[in-house]
Amino acid sequence: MENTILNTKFFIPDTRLKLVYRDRLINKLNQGIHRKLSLISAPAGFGKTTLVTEWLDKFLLNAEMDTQIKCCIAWLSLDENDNDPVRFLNYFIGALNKAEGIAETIGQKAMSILQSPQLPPAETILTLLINDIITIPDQIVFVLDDYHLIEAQSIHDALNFLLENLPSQMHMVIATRQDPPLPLGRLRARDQLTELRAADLRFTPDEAADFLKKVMGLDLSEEEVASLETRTEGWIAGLQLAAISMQGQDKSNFIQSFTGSHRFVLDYLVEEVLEQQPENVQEFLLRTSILNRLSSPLCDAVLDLPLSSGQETLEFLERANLFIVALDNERRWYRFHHLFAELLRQRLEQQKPDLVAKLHTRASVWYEKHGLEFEAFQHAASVNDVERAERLIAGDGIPRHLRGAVTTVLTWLQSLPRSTLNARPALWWRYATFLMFNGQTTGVDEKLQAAENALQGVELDDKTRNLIGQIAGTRAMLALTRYQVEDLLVQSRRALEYLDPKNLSSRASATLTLGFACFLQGDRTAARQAYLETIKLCQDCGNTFTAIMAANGLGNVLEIETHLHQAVETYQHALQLFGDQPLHTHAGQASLGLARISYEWNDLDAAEQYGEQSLEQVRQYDEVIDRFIFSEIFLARLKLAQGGVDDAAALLAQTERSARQRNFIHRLPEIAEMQVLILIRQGQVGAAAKLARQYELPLSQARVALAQGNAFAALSTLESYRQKMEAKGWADELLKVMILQSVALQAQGEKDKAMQVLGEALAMAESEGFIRIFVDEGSPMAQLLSEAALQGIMPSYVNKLLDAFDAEGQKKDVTSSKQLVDPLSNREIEILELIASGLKNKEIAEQLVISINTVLYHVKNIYRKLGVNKRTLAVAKAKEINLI
Amino acid sequence: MNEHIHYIIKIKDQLDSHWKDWFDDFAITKTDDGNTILNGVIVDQAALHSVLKKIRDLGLTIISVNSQEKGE
Repeated sequence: MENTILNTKFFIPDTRLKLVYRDRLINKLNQGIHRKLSLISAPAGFGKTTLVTEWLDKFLLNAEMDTQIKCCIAWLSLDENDNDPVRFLNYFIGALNKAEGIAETIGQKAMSILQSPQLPPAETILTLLINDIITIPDQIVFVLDDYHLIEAQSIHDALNFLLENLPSQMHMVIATRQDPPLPLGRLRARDQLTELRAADLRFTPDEAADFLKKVMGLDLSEEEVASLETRTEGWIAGLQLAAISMQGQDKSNFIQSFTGSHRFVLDYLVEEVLEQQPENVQEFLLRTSILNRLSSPLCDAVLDLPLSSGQETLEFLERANLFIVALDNERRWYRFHHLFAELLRQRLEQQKPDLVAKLHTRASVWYEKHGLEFEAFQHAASVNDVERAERLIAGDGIPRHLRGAVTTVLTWLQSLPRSTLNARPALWWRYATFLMFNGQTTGVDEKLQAAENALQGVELDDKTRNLIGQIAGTRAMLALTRYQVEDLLVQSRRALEYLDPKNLSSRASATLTLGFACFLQGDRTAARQAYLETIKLCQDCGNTFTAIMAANGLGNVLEIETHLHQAVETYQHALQLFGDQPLHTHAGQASLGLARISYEWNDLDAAEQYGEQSLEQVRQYDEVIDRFIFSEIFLARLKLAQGGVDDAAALLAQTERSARQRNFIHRLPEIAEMQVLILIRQGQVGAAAKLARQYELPLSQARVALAQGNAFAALSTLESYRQKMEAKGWADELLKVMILQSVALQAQGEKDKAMQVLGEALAMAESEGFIRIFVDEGSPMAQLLSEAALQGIMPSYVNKLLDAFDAEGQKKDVTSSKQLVDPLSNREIEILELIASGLKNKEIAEQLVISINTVLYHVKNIYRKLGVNKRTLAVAKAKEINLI
Repeated sequence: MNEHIHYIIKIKDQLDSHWKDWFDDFAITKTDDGNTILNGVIVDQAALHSVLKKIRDLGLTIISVNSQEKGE
């Protein structure tokens, strides 16, 4: 049922069989086809829509016959509810897809982004759409009918953007009752605008004569025609009604009375025409005037007569060209000509005021029965049937994500007196939630407080308990937006305490916010439990969105608890939940998680794929969201591992700039952490030290100390950090600390201790297959692992890690052999790395268990191949060509 | 700032007084030159635009819109 109404917005109205030839107007429109816009701006009743449809009919015919240009026509009839930019764009794209000759793939990318809860700027979406439109080979004409109903500035802006970047094969037509707030002056100046206004659209005396005589078949004298034309001033609707009136009565009498009266033309004529209709038709028209759209079953419901005559009457009215317009080919839906709806409604209210409420209620009931809760709500609200309206907004039928629907509900709520709201505390709560759906947080506290006040002294039964729970749940949501962790925890718990156990959806939300609260407080175990619980609840109540957020959260917790395999499963599940919306913003978190884990497992190709996918996904977030930073930091880390130090540095510099520009100061420490790594790799230890100090990053400070040769300081920092992490039970940080500790201990010469710590780290890391956390430490770690191999510690794991090191070395070999005429052997590289870590020849000999002469021999060859004569130069050159 | 302002809107052609309710309690007066005056107090700009919209949607022609501070 819903689809039928939606499709009617794309329906191109039928052209009337008999028409007045308006060639002068048609020609103007034809000539304007190469311009961007044809604007038809005139009050109601000037035949705008008729003109456009007639023109399109003729234009299409001519185009095909004369010039063989194929022309696609897209039509969108606007209504008051289209003031929501998302809905508008959805319908805009829908109209394009509906047009014959335009592929269904046009606008698909834009359409899928429109599903995101947080939207990128309209320009981004429109650019995607425009790029699709450009690929259409044929001429396109897009008609926006009744544009005066659009009041949202965001839509005017979007349309403006579209016009500025309009593909050359596209032509826009806007029919409206008032000039749209678009830069018409500019368009005129650039000869991009064709305008038809009331003065153009009025019937000229000749056209009036044509109409009255030929189309309406009236036999009138020139004088009579002239006086009618004068009285109506060529207003088409007026002439039409006059003609219809005259068909049923004495013409000269009519003309005399009509032209002699000062009464508002429309009022006069509608009354005339109405009075000529049979009684049942008059009743029909008056009663159904409350409806925005008419269908026979709906009309029958509203009329509530013993015999259903809706269909007959509608067809009669259409044939007689009286007041109504068909909205589809099947003749299922109609609407009133705008002018007449107002007038009929006014007559109804004047003549039968007591009936109005009954009619609206019948309409509301019918709409509800047919699953159209929003329309049902509108009718209930217009007669202030609070009980009915409240019930309807409580259901799932009203689309929360559609701003148009939300603001309609809010308008109604705002109109209610406090006493009404106080009598229904749940309505206060609804008010608060709808404000939040509308993106507002101001005023929400007051409404929630009002709800609680209204509940004072009320008996605590299941319903009121549930309401208290709902209120707490909303308070939790508020706390989340304000980063008030304490409150978030308290309210989430309160919600769960009071919510009805059967209210799965709300319980899922509250459990999710509880999970967030625990996580933010550092209680990973509790967070994990909460997320798991949320997912289960969502499975039972089908709340996919909450499930996805919980899956993201869970994946993250598992990941940092070093349960990599489980994390992967969870992230993949989250991605699956997105189904046919792979570009969805929240998918970015899951993708990034998979990127990080792929990286850790040394699958750098997969890591790159997921990493870039995550960036594309999170870029669709609103500008105030800083998620993209995590993806960019990751991609920089990846670049580093792939050997592109300078590239990584450049990427990260850009990220830092964006972060500062947009004031995302909370992310600067994370960026700095990566920057420290890069700076150390680049040999800029001083700069790295500065950053590490500035942001107080323990691991970074330890690394810097190591790079400065100060293993002692490094160990002291690491020890205190380790204690903290052990106390918190943070496995991921512990692992990192232990690995750095073993490297530092080795640098200090404490081999045994180093081996011990390494052994602990390996034991922790083995089952989840950590690789890069070791490999990224470079040759010092390689040495440690070789020693571990010798000692027979966890042989299969250690060998796997050593193989990874070899692969790294080979990668570097590949790149370096491209650069050196005489490439270094593996052994030579090995020795070079030991030289780089500060070992003297004697120490190298001991390390590798070879004679010092052999070492000297290798060193000589190294110098030769690198074209240097000193150790320091050899190391520098080797680093320069990414050899070590 | 007390926004309650008295508005006088002149419309072409004549409206019967039963239109009063439709126009939110504006007084309706027919003039001698065959036009109509809508006379009423409007709370704020939004309300004014709402009335103008109703006029527009009926296809009426506005001749003039004037305001008068209440109490003048």
